[in-house]
Amino acid sequence: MTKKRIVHYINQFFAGIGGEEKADTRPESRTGAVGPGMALAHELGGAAEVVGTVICGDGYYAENMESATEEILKLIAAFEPDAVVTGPAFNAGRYGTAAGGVADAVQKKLGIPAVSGMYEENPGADMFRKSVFIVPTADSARGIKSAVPAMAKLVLKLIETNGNPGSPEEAGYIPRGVRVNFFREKPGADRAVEMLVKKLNNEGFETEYPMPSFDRVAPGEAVKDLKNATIALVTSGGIVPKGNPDHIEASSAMKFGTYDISGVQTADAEHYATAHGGYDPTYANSDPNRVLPVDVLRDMEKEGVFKKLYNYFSSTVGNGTSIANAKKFGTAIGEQLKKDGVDAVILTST
Amino acid sequence: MKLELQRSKVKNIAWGEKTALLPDGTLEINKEELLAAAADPEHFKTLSADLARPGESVRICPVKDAIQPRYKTEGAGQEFPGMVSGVDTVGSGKTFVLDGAAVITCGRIVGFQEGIVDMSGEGAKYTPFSKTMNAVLVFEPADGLEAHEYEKACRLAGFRAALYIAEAAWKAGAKVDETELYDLPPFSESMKAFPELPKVAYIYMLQTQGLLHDTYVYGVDAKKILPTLIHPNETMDGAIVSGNCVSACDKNSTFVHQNNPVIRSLYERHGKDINFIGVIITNENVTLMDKQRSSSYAVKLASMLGVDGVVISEEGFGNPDADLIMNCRKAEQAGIRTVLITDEYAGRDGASQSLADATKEADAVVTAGNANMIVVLPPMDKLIGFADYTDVIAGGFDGSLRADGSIEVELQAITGATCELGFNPLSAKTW
Amino acid sequence: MSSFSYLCISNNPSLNGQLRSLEYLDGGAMDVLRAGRDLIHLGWELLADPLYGNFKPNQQPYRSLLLKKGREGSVDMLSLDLIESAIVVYSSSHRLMLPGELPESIDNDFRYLDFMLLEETFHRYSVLASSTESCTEVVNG
Repeated sequence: MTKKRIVHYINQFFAGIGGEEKADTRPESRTGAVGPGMALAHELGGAAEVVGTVICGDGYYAENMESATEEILKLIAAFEPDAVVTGPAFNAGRYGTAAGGVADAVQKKLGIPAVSGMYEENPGADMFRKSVFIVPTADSARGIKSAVPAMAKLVLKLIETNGNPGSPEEAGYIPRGVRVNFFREKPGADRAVEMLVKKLNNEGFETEYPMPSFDRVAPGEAVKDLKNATIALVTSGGIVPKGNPDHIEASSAMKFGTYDISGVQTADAEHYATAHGGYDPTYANSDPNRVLPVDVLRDMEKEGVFKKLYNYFSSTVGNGTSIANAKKFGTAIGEQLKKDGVDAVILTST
Repeated sequence: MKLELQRSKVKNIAWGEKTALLPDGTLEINKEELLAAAADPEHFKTLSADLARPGESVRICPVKDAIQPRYKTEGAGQEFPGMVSGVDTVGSGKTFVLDGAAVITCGRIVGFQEGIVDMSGEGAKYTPFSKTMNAVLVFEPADGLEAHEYEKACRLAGFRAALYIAEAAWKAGAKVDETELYDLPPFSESMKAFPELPKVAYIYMLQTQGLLHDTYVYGVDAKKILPTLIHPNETMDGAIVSGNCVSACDKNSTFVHQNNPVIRSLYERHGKDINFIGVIITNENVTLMDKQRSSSYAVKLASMLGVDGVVISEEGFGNPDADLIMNCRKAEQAGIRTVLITDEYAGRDGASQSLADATKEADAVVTAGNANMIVVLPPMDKLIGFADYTDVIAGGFDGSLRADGSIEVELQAITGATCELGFNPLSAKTW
Repeated sequence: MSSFSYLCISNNPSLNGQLRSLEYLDGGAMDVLRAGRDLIHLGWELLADPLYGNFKPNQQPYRSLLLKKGREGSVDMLSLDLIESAIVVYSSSHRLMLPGELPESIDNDFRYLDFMLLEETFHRYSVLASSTESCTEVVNG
């Protein structure tokens, strides 16, 4: 039997090119294994070989997602692989997004199986676990020793089973949240009555269909005295001062920015633009007030509808940003607003 | 109310001189008499009958209804009250059951109708009616017949045929293999019985959206009822019948109403783990005000019965998901614990949200499977019915017709595949 | 739009002439749902579940919504929930069937069923045009 051909996708850091300062590295490919690919090749043993490695800087990928994916796919396809392995990305957000995105594109466009690996809270896992088999890893590169063998095992299984590796537990991937049919021993009616008996007796039971989780926030009390209120603007639509001084990521944002707008009458196109990579920015960039309505709020401030527009606005990019990060940003922004006596906040999204 | 079911096992089915259940378990049917029982020349241009046995290379499509042949041998009323018999209350006395047999009706009311029963192959795993000995009636409408009229004619013909077979077999001296007694006392007694056991009722949701989506109770269109009580035994005598068949996977055919597995299971545990008090039927109307009224009313009836828990079964998907969730939420808020039976439309890849509605109170749900799952049905040697769905529609918009004649369809097209009365062992889990 | 307090939005041509207040929409089912959502945000309330009928979005090309004018400035949350859920169901379909895509006879059946499933609701709110008899369809044998 001929060995299966595997292509490995890694970022600039694991390729040994450099850290953040080299994040703008454009896609390139090398023959054979590079960096963690050596361990991968070893784990694949006689069944498969790493025929090539494709490398891309995390920053370059995040900022040029569509064109970068296309370039990467071309480089991968040139090796004529049977399957692709991406990462492991551990808890690196942009690397995880790239590893997941490349694996997803490989499956959809090249029609071959792909496996990725990352920490379960990596935003890339959230974004791609439905479409890509992702091996759960530790949150840092220290976990590479256990991640690589698991990824090698899964990719071989994926090839062998034609893309149906079995349950998450058996095959070792992050549950994808997809519903799969199977036959239980008893008809549904008997299961239902049994479940009811257990529920009534306060015994443990397991629902067969967990309802989607509701992370709902109850709306706050209405502002009673609007005339004397200070109102703040916060957006996940990515509006930032032109040049994006804090380098807020176009996707899977790891941070938010807070910017002074005291004296600013309008969020005009000359001074503001969006950093968001998840929507067509044409309309936001031609008039950023569309996302961050400074102009209208200044008018209302003048009319005395409310007392004051808070001197700062906060902004992040809600594009594949992990829920954990979003909560962190929200809490931090909220604390500052409270401290500064802001009465209400208008949240805009896209 | 006490009802004895007199079950005779049907092991084969064949045409013969006389309709009778032979000692070897063969249900022999006089074809002319069967056709005469089903006949309705004013509404049918043609009417034919065929047989289909488990394991045969036969596909039946589009299946409209499946009916179990039953005949009341003692007690008031007769099978299918308000449909082909009077409206006397049924559910007591004795009822003869041809266990393992079914009458299947095949009438194309609209062109896109699915409803596949394969007697062998992959599809046979999913439908309950690949396991029954089937007498199949195939109709064609008289020229100029209106759709509602035609639907009704097909529906009634099936009941007449099923009743004819059971009555004739009984009168020809069928031997009863086993009897089962179903006995549930009046409320005055049941409230005092088993004080240590939780009281349980069943909220039985009926599909009631309109043409091809209707259900009848003693002949009454259930979209016009307020939720009401029914004795579980009445359902065993055909008090609830089906007028629906799209989508085929989760519509309750008359057969599953006659053999409601939730009622069977509640009876089995009655006096052991639970005190089974009764059954509340409710509807799934399109009008929002009806949904709100019916869910409040059904839960109010459960509260009046003072039950601790209810099983709630849904019929269909989409619009009825709203009723299911309202019933659940209102019952839980009234302090009545619930278990729901539903099926899922999670997409072909299983990645979409399964139900159109959700509530956190629905923490105990039984699923009959994802109806969007793809199955590949091999070509069959014989087709009973009409080729439209399998040859035209499945190939055109809903699946694909392969070169070898096999078709790729969603489970949704298969009759009874994800029955939300919990008739089948099929289920789903998250991967 | 008349002062009549009910409105039906539909892409089903079979409803033309049948209702007292109809806004016919030349588009797909999703366009009808979106137009409904817009009206709900303007204070209209749904009278029937937008997911009536047991069809998947890739089967039935027609949708009709019956709405009632609600209180100005208020949004009916039940209506909003239902329309949003319906939009989620339609957006997650692997494809949507559009009017006219199906063979004529099947397309006709879907138009007819679309009407029939709402007929009861139309009656209830007296929105059927008084002069017309209810729509009938002859089955194609």
